[in-house]
Amino acid sequence: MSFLNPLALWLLSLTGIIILFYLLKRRKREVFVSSIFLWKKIVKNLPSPEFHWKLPFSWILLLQIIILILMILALSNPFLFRKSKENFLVIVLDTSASMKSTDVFPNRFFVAKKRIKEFLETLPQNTKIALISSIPPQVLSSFSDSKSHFLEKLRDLEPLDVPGKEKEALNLALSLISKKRGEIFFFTDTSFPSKILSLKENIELVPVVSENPRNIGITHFDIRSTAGKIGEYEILVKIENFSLGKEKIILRILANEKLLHQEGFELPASGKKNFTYDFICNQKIYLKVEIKTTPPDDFSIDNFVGAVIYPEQTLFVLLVSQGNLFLETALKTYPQIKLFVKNKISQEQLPEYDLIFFDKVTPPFPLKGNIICIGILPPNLPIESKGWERDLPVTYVKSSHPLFRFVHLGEMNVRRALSVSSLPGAEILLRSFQIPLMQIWQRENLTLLLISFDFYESDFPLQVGFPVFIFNLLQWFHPEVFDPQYYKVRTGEDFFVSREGNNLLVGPHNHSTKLEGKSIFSRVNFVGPYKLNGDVYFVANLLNSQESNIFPQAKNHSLKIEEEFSPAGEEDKWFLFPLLILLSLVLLLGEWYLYYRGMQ
Amino acid sequence: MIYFSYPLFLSLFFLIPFVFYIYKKGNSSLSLLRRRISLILRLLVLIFLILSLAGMRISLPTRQKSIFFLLDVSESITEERKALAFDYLKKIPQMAKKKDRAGLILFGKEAFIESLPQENISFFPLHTSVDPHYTNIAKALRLASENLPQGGEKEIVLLSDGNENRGEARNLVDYLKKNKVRVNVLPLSGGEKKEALLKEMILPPQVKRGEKFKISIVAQSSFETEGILKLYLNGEFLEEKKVKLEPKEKLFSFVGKLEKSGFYTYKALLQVWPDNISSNNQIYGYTVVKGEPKVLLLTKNKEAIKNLVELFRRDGFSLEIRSPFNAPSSLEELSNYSALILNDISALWLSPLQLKNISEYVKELGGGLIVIGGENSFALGEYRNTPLEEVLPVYAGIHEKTNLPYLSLVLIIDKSGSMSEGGNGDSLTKISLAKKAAWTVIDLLPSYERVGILSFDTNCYWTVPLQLIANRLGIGRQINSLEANGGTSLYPALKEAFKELRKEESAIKHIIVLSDGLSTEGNFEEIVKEMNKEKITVSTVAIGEDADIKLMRNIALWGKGKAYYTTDIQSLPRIFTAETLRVSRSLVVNESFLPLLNLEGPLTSGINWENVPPLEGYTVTTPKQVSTIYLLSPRKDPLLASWRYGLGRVVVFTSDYGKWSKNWRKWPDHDKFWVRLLNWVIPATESFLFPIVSIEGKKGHITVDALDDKGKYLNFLSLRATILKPESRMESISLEQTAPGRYEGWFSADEIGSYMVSLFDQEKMKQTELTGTVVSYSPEYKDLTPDKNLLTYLAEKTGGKVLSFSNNPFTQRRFTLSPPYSLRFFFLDLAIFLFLLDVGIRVLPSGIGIFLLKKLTSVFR
Repeated sequence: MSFLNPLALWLLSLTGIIILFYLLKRRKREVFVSSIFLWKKIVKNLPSPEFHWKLPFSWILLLQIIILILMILALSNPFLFRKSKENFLVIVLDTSASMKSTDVFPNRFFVAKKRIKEFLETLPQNTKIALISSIPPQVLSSFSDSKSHFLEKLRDLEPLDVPGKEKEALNLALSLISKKRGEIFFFTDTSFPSKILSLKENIELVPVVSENPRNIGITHFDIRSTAGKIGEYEILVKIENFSLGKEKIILRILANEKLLHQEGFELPASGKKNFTYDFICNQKIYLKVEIKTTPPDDFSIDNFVGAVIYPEQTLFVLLVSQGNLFLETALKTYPQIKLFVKNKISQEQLPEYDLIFFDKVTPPFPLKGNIICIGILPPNLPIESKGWERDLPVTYVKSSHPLFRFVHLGEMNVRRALSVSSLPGAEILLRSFQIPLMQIWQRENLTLLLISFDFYESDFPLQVGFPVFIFNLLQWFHPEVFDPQYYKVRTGEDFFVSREGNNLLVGPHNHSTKLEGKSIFSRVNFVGPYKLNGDVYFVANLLNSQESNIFPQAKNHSLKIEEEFSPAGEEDKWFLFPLLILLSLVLLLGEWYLYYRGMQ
Repeated sequence: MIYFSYPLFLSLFFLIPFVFYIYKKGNSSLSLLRRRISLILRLLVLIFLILSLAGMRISLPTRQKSIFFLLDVSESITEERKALAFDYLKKIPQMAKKKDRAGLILFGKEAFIESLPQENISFFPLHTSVDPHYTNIAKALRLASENLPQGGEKEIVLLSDGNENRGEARNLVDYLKKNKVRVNVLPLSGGEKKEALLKEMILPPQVKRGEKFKISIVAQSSFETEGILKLYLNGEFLEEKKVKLEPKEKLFSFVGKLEKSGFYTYKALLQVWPDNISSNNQIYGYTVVKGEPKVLLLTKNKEAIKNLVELFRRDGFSLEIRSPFNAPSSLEELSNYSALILNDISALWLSPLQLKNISEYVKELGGGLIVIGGENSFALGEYRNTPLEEVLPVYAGIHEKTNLPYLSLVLIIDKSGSMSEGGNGDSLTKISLAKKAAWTVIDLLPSYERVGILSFDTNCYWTVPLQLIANRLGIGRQINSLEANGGTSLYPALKEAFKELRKEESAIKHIIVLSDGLSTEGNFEEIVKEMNKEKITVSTVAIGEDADIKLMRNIALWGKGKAYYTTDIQSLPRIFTAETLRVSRSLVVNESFLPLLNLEGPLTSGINWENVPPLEGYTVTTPKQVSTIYLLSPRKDPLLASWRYGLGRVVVFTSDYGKWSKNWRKWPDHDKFWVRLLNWVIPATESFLFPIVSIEGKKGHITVDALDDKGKYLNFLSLRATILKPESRMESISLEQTAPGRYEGWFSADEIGSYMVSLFDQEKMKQTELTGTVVSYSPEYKDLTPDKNLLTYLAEKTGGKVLSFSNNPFTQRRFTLSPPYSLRFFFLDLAIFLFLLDVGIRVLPSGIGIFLLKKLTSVFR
């Protein structure tokens, strides 16, 4: 036995105090009292305490000493080394999308769970098992020898339509057994990058996959609106054949469940094919692309992709100006924009508009919303102005910013601009020496693009890239209106719900979530349409070539991973603290009972 | 806040009623007060033991602080500032209060923990080394946030100039706020040594031919100084100007004007003294000039090619003529031309690098190539086994892999008795020299040729029957067996040679006759002319004064060969060598012939080949397997051949533009023919691609949008990009379609300089766009002043402050919750103490206090 706090053992000398108490204890003697009226006199005349050298035997004394010894021992935190008879086992279950493959009946996940249950039956009694899922990588059940608890967690587990995070899950498993002797069993279909497989001896790979699974999947899906045309879109779909043989495929494109296009083709093994399709729509559509094979392939999650397109969304844009033909013309190009032109606006009216341009008109204070100030400084901003400067060449362009995509401004001439400082924390997009010509400043409830020159005092509107810049600007401020890809996400990604008020979001498996106001929804776990207040709002797709490749990547039973921890091959420490305290409690009760039973 | 490690043990509280029950039901001699006190004590003991067993932990309000110091050790931080930062960090242990924890992270391109936050603060000596060529503040912030200990206040002190060039620290603000981590910033700026640099070069990405444009260069210096700013174009010095620099950005301009289409790289170089860092004194830019295609013609004889040059210029081509000794030495220079014409150029006139560049130019850049023959070209120009031969659709000369031998040669050697004599008193005999000459021929010819040696005296004998020269050893032994004796009868030998040679299928059949004497009669004229009809030629070598010179000359005349006469027998081997060379290296065919149309195609259609004038010669080549042969010679040798090589096209015309094709000058289809060739090899350009090339770290990213003239997306294009990098290195990548009309690809871009990107539509074999990008010096050297914006933003958004070296980061505090403390042993201590009290209450008699006091006083008395 060893002690973590051996100094506490000195307190064992306190047992002497108990002994002292008993040495000082008044000895009882029999006194015959002829009358109870004499009782008080006798009690008054009791002899004074005296020290007795002889210690009478008492069970209670013994118990009290033992109790004290036990508590002091507990205080010293003793432990025993023992060869652990416990086994520690971590079961990592792959819960990624590919586990829904049906190449093994009924699907890989079901078979994996069954194999785990069978495996549990073979484990010795003192095995402590933990359960980890691969997506999200988390401990679902920590070490316990309670199989029922483990099985309950296992029963509740279902795969998600999300690509797995195998490395994180295995690292988590390793961290659980880092200070114990244990093993990890990874029940998986091995459809993950083979570079994850680097060897470590205490991880066992248990593949749950057939030899020849079939899958044809959609691995790429993109939508673009035709340049310069509103309501016209084109999609690109990439289909890959991950099977070993040639496959006959039927491709269908549907809009609001109505068939738009269908065609059949063949893909050789490992073949890929791109499809494009263009269409016109002027109202919201739920676009679906699906592929079918005969017989059906083994993984259906990637046979479908979808998106919601909202061509009819309207953006309320206000131009506060004495007149700016360039801007008006550029903004009127977009039917999505309902343009209002005023020469002033109050602070209360700001929330009525999605985007506001202040063209040489002082904005109200405080500013809120999406604001673009041109040639004017908003009031009460932490910015210094030194008046106007003339003939400013452009010396710096942050060409990587989305606002400047396909826009070259190096040759732009600015005849006159406000000589201002940068707003604190602002992102400078365009500069003439130290003077920011364009900067973006974001605060709570405010996104401000400050352009410190007047368009009419430059040749900016005459640049070839000006209309492109306006488009980029609109798309940057309101991607939900101008980017047809906005309402299409990949499973595992977050989606920003931009609707105000109380909303109910229901996913493909009827999981519902209440949302208040604009918020980020981070549980996009299943492929399919997500409905907001009953209407299809956005669609989640898998679109992951790695996950769609359900062909087994590794047949080896041993799996290795880069080592982050090295579990000590140490003996177990068995701390005796709980045992000693429990014994003390029992003996305390016993002592209490004996005392009140009169065994003094 | 209270936590329990083993809350299950709290169920032991069920024992409490049991204690009450025993108390109520039991009996004791104690007074009521003592009994009640004992009960309370006992209950407390039990409670404390149960709480101890349940592992109760408590978090208390605390003002403890944990601070991670993040020190920027990138190149942009001067040594002086680093020293100040180190001094500041050395004072941290004194500044911290008890229980405060501090740790240190060093960062540059990456971030590494030098020491984790701990109470025992000690940062030095430092052990971590970091790549200082970039600054990634985001990584450092994330690493710190993930490793700050739980409990207490969590802060970061960022010591940096804020000039990040990797990552986006702004994006981490929400994450930091969520984890309640405050970021204080301590700007590291100032103390910079004298530094001058070029920050930007601004010029239009595309200009028109002859159009003037501005090249603006932004320069800055940390001190007032003067320097020289030099401008280079494609590596060549253009101009310079004296500049005055100040501690603010200044703009200097040059005017550019480019007359020819192509991709141009500008480099600006600033020379100033003193200057701390030199790598930021040069900057690159590029521009593309679009216009009609440029053609480079290499020729040694400009006069001979004058007509062709005028023809091409009349047709609108921009033609530049150079001597081969002035050919472009770099691929970059060559890339400015759409096509290259080699007119009768020997490979020996070009360096191996130039030859390789020609190959790369065609293969990777899609340049067009026309090779016109002449006596210095192809095999005669040593094209064999060079990169130039690889590019051509023909092999230079005769390729070994042809099935048929090219030459069958028979040596008819007089072995009559007179051949055993020496000449002019030499010890060597005629026969021995004749043998030597024969060996020379055997050694000279390639193994796929055929040779036979027919010796004659009165009769004729096949000393070496007609066979492939490959068996040189055997042939040599057979030659050695030649001995001189007998008479001289040439006619039967000629007849025998004719008999065997007519069976041969070689392109060239030739006889060399060696004799030193008069032959017996025979109808030599008839037989030799017969031979001629079978395309067998005869040359003669008469040796010695007794030779029948007249007959020998006539035989050579009838046999369309050459006649040699010598009295010096030592010259025999030399004569044989020359004659063999003359015959075998008919690598050049000098005869008048009409080209035969082999294929109607883009190079030959629309031309009236029936009226084509004859050509007078050509250089012999062998077609390659997949080449297209449009015109042939009567000998079935390629005359006009073409093919695609990589991205480019190649045409070969094996005659010349000179004496051999002089008849073609007046040919009505002459112009059409030559312009057709040039048009075919020049890649046509179509502009329907809108590329963007950007540099992200050490990778270049190409994004191309493809639209037709109506704005419709162009899909399923097979696009390829060839990137010509600094130092003429090349990378070729396929672009993958990623969206309707969008194609993307990546390439490595780890060298400073300009990158020219050519985009090709592989299916149409057309170059579609030329663009580029530049990679400047490490951004660490670009900013002389700190980015206070970023630092301020980080501090403000997270509730932090901007500090200075005189500030103590540990002074500002607020209450937070400490990490949970375990009360296990505290409760156990209490339980022990209260237990003893409990025992004492029950056991000790009343008045014990007075008794003990009396005892103690008596002891001290």
